[in-house]
Amino acid sequence: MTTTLTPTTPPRIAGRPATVLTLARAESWRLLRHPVLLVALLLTVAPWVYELVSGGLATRYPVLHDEDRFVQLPMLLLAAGALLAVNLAALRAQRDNMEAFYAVQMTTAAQRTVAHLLSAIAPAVLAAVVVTLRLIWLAAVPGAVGRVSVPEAVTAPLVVLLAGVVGLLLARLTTAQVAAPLAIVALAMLALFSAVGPRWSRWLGPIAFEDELTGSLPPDLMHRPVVWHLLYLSALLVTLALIAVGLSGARWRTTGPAAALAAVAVAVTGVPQMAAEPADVLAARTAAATRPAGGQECREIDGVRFCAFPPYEPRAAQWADVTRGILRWAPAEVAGSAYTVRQRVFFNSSGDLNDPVPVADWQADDAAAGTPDSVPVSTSWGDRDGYNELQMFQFSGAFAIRAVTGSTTAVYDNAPICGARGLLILWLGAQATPETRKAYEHSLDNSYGGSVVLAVLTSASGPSLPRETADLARKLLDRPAAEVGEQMRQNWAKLADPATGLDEAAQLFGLRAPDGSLC
Amino acid sequence: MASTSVAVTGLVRRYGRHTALDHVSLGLTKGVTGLLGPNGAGKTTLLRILATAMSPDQGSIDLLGIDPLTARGRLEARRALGYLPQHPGFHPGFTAFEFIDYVGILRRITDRRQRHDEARRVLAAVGLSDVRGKKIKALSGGMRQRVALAAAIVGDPQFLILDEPTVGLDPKQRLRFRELIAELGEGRVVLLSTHQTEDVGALCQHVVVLAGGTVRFDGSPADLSAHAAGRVWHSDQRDPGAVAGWRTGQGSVHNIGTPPPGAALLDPTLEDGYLLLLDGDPALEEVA
Repeated sequence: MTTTLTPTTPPRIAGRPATVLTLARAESWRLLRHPVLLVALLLTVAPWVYELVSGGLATRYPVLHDEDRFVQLPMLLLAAGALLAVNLAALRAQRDNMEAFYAVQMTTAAQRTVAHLLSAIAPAVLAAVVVTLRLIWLAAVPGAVGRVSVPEAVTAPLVVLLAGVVGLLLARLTTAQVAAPLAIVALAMLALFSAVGPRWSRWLGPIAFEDELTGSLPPDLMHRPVVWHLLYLSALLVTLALIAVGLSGARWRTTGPAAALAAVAVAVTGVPQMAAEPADVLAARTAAATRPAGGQECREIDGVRFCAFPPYEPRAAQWADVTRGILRWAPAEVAGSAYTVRQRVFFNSSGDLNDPVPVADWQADDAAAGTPDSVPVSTSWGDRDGYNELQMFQFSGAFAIRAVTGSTTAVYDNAPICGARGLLILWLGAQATPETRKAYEHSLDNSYGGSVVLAVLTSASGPSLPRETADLARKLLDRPAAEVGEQMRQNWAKLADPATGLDEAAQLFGLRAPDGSLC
Repeated sequence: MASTSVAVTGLVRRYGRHTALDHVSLGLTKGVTGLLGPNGAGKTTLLRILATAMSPDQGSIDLLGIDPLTARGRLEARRALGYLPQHPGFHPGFTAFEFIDYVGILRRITDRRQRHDEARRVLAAVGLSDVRGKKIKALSGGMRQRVALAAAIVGDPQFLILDEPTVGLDPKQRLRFRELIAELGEGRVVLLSTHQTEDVGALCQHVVVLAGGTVRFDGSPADLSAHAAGRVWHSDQRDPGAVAGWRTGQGSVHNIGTPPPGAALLDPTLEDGYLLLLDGDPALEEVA
């Protein structure tokens, strides 16, 4: 007899738990190497890697208590990959005509299902690693503010795990391979519905979206019952897992009641997360929107007072760069004035785009705080996308208005700023920092007819500057800043005078006077 | 001391009105037992019951001293048996080693080192050590069949059920398989279901013929051949009195049945005995 036909030492046969764990480990490794999961991972991280290597789109001013939420959406791609990969792994025996062989092995179908369930932890761990690296990277950015919420950060890995369980359950319900892609489409539609549907549906899907048009909000102004949502997802996961195990031949006497209990837990944990926003959060929002001074912390940099909601205080350094860049060209008496920059939030509660900001409330609050004519600045800041970048330029424009006109009245007027002072304001605002200049250029690129609107936050309040002013400002921006800035300082009084026309300003800088209406 | 034989008593299995196995009783001992029978004879049903993939409606089984019809016994029986299905599937994306390693886990060998040793051992036993790192989809049909056999012998089972293992193999591969099965039969109970009477003749010490769900023959291959003694002859033309007859490569007609007086009798083969045993069976009508 061939010696290899009989082992010298018979292999030791292990118990059920050890077998299930060993099988789970083997399936985990196969899952992590599955092309579907790898492609999903690539698609998830590709935009971030592009940000990293290109630099141009990098988030230089992340708000960590927003980023922990933003990270969840791209992770849905990884969740889709996990759903598909686990489904394919669980259907392997049927697909490869191995059922007859598997049926007589010492490991039962239910044990194999439990192993597949445990293997779904691997992509969830992968998701946790990706989320952690992304958030660590953002937290390490010098301009980062805020703190990561652990429950928010845990959401994406839990969703990936849940997706894997859904993939497994589908495999136990049907051997049709089209089921998993269809489920992904259905789940994507659920996510979309929860994003744009009625308020109660917001937490129904795997992740809960916020109305991002409001801009970044201090954490205490947000109502995100994330812990309830995690419990809801966990209960859902356990329910689906128990059904999958039950369908695999485990005793329904055990798995059935447990699944029913878990389903009750889904309802119990699902209801609180759908509850309306608590009164204290609504009251805090009203206070923050109308009387923010009481809840803000202020610090002075180069004679300018910067007041911000916690945890945005470090943002003052970036705001100071802008104010410094504007006041450097102002005459001493202007530069030496008392300035306050106050962070504002604006809730467009009616959803009407024509809603104005509550100027009267703001002025009353400023008067009470001893900071009249404070310049509004948004909680959003940066170059991540058009909106944040716009906030940067709107702040520099508003501060230039305050410096040139001596008040913030024009900041909230919907009237055009005409004449030479418009050119002075626009040039000062745009040249303040390289970032504001870039933001200005982008704002012109997106402008209708070449005019510039300096809307305050996301409101309909704010002045506009005509196209002719914008054209001249662009020509001046092409010149050395020191040269133009010196002329601005020397002619400040004339340029700031509302009676000075744009044609006079053009002549002053040796530019051709603009044609057409000068408003 | 554990039993080294398999005994089946009064096994009945019905599919609706059709009785696939009708009070089948047989005994298997160490060595290779051939299971012959036409299509629909109940062979696969018997094998699936023995492999614990299905339960009989009636009857009992003693599988190496284990009762596989109880929940506890089923697990013990699975530990003791290896099964090569009629159409073994494969995971084409696995390498031969990965596949056997995976089967090792399914057979509850959780110690990684032991499992890897076992995978190397069984792959060496079927002569696939050199290609163990190759994906199964890249292996030839014969190699895949050997992978399936390797999977069946993981954990050194003492009862092997092989359902038509040589179908589709070329003569050289069949010869290699015969060697393997013969070696496996030394010290184990091997049940070989096949349509190839020459495989039975070459390998088996014991043969069972199943037809219509009943055992039609249970004895040695020589006894099965002897069943046709004096009933095989050759002639120039097909004899009208023959149950079956076919022209051979030598040009004469090989007849089986009741020979005419003075017929030139031939020594019967196992196939002759098998065909005569099934005289009247639809399978024989096809041959005739």
